[in-house]
Amino acid sequence: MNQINIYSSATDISSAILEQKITAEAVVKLFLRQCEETNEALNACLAIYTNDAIAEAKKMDMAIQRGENPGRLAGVPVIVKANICQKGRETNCASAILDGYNSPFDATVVSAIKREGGIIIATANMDEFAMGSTGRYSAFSPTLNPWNSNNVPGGSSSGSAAAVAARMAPISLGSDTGGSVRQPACFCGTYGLKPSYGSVSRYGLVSFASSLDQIGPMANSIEDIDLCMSVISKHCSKDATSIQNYQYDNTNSDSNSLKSIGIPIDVIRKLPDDVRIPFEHRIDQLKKSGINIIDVTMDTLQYAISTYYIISSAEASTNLSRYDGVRYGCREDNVTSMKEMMMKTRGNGFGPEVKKRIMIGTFSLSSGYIDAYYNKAQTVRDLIREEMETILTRCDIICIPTTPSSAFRIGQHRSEQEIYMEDILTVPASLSGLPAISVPCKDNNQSLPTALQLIGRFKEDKQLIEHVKQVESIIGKQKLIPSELNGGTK
Amino acid sequence: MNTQWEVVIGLEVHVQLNTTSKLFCSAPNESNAEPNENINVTSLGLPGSLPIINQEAVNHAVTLGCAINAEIQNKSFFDRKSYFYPDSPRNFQITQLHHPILVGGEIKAPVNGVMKTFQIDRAHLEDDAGMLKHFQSFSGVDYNRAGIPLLEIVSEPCFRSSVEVRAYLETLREMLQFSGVSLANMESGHMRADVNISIRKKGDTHLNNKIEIKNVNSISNIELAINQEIKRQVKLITSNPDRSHNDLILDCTYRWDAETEKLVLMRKKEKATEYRYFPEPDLSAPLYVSDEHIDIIRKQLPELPEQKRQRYRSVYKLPEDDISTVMVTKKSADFFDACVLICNNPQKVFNWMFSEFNGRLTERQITIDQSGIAPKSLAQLVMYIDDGSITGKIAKKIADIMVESPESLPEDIIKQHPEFVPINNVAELEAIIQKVLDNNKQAVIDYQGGKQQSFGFLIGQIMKETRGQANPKSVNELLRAKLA
Repeated sequence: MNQINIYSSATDISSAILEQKITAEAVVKLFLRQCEETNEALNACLAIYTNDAIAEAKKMDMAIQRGENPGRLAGVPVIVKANICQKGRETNCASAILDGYNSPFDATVVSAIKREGGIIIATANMDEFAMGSTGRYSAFSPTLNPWNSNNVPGGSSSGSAAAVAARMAPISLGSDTGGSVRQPACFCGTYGLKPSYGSVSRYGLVSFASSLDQIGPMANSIEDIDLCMSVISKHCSKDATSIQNYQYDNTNSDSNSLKSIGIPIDVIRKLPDDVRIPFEHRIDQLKKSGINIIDVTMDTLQYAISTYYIISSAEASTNLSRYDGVRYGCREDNVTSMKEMMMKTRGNGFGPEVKKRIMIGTFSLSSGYIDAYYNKAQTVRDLIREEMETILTRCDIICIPTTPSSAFRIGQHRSEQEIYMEDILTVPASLSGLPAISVPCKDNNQSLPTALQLIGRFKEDKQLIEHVKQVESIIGKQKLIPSELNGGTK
Repeated sequence: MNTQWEVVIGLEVHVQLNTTSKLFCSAPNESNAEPNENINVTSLGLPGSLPIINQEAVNHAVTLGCAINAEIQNKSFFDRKSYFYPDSPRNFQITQLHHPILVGGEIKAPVNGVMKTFQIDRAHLEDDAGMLKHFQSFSGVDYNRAGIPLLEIVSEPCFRSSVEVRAYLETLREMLQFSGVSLANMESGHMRADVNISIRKKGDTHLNNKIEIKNVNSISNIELAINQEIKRQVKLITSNPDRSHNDLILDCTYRWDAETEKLVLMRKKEKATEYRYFPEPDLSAPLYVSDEHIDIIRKQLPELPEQKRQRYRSVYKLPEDDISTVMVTKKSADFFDACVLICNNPQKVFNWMFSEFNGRLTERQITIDQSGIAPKSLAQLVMYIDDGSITGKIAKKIADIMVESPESLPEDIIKQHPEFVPINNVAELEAIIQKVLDNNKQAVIDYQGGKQQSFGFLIGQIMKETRGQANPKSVNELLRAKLA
């Protein structure tokens, strides 16, 4: 085994710690130093828990010396998005309205990570309440892309993606509602998985759109995504939308069983060269290796964006009603009535994107409009799900790029609607509840990464991961290191 | 009331279900806590918390469904109802708008001695809100009540008078209490009724505008409020013959002011209230109740009030007034049933419960079912009297002690008080009888001369001599033999 450094995988790190080749303390300090060195430039983390992390690592080293096994993530530093509750730590969703709000409980995924010996060293920045795809809607300054600070890191899991790309931790957790894990993973050149809906507990994930939200892992290798899923993905009795009796590790999966890939060639053809060329190049490699490439049509794709924004905003408009200054979070005190307090608190506490979504959602649910908007969107969602599932009866996975472009320049878009269109390739899997993973893909002549998105069948997350491993055995592993990163030449 | 008018009333009754925990979380459902003691992350709607349905609440709903013969839905769904108010922790309520757990059903209630059937439209599960408390310079919110399971029972607009409403509410309350579904105490807010009232000309079939009266806290006040409102509507319409009915009666919500005994206007419903209902995405799977589960609950259904009443009437032969007395609360009836099951003397159990014991407990303002005295104890007392082991007089002394130390069984009290042990020894009794006869020669002569009262007098003297310890039956027999 190579010496452990910030480029090491979580798998290698935990083995080295368990074999006492390195202490957890040394590992944690290694990554904390990286956090300190890079966070000022990137603003990927809102809080770094230096003392707590070192103390936990020391405790773990003693436990290991006593012969105890701390678990599958022994000593692995993990960074958690700011909308996933950590007991006693600030869970502010990068919103001013929750500035200073400490959660009194751990999310199920946080407990799972701790139980397996993972050490949470920082909380990741994000777009406020997970709404946005640029990282620029954080109330606490935007995160920058470690590949190029003039480009956005993607979002909403901007900090989780940038942090893993910048090797501040080998694994991070993000949340994905319409692409919020996969798109920043693509822009930052890391792996990012949106699991099947209901396969990872949402208990302790601050709700944006309940029917779409899923926590997903981000890492620099498919093996680390696999490892993280085996820790966090199982049925949770505190989440009524959690799949009964499900456990990632116990689902069937065969290695080297990938025979056919569905590709909507019509869609690919329209994409810009910097995305299309590396994509087609890899598909060619797969085709040559004997994998059957099937042309599929996605007729519902044109409706995906509007469907997604209506449903997610409707749910968000009610999920975010609770932030009213009465019980927790910020409160405007200079008021004369309860109603005024609630209005001012929300008026000042929410950022522009959040307010816009609340208004879209409130409108689309109101009497007189609910049939034309929310109810119709639900009908179309069913059609999209049906189409996706039908395609997946004809092929093992669907493969499309994660995004229609690589990381765009800050301020590049003329309108918000244009930015919304960037989500077109990620929302179909979200609306269908299917597992989808962004796998980095970058040709040497390119300055920014793009990504392949592989979409699998419902509840077959482990099989999807196996398919990715097989794909990588053909197209090669993409361990990308941002050019701007210290020691990026390693 | 003017006889040309017909009153149309519909009721929405909110019932707090008698569960251990709240509808969507494990926070306790009980009302004797300090403010904000019975709360947790979910009942406060903290970021990241999620609702999980409480099966006990579902079972209660199914129980009521069996009791009122409703169609219990195998699949029902929850919806979000949005409104901003500080007592609502999420600023939305989780309820069942489109697919309630119970559809239809009926309640039979006696109106002026005649059984009448009232139709239920639906009943659905939802969570209760917290409570605002207003202080001089600020308001506080107590979330203890927030999340307590409610079943909202919606009747058809089938009531034609306040008397019918009273009969329905009393029957429903008794049914809820006896089935264990709810404590159904209106004063404590376990049961709250919203009343919708409109009037129309007799013979009309359409419904006119209605007003809603919210949250009246007793059945008597509901009756008062209804009668007041009917008078108001009739007066308003008859005194304005040139204006149309629905111009005069607007859809409004009133609340009852218990102090002034007047209805107070809360709001006019000019536009439909905008609740933005949509399916609850955190509980997207249907609430599933299988036919097998319904059967299990149906089989375990406790004896319902009407069945109980019938049993008391035909098996126990209790008079109607006594039946009502026994059934004043479920606890009282349970206590009564437990006693009769042991000693099989309903009338005597009734007398001891309601005259002897409740009489002794009056100044403590409790009844025997609240006293700590076990049904077993009372039953034992009755059995001892019945088999002649103690006299009525001793029984009363034992009852005095039982009230003071409710855990003591009559058999133990007797052991501790030798003077309560009846004199059964024939020789001993005969000696006492002889002594009394010797001291009352005139009475003996009188008796033998045909004066029957003298026999009673002699018995009294003997009982006095034995300080009530003698078995009256034995004394009677022995004396008769002596004087024969």
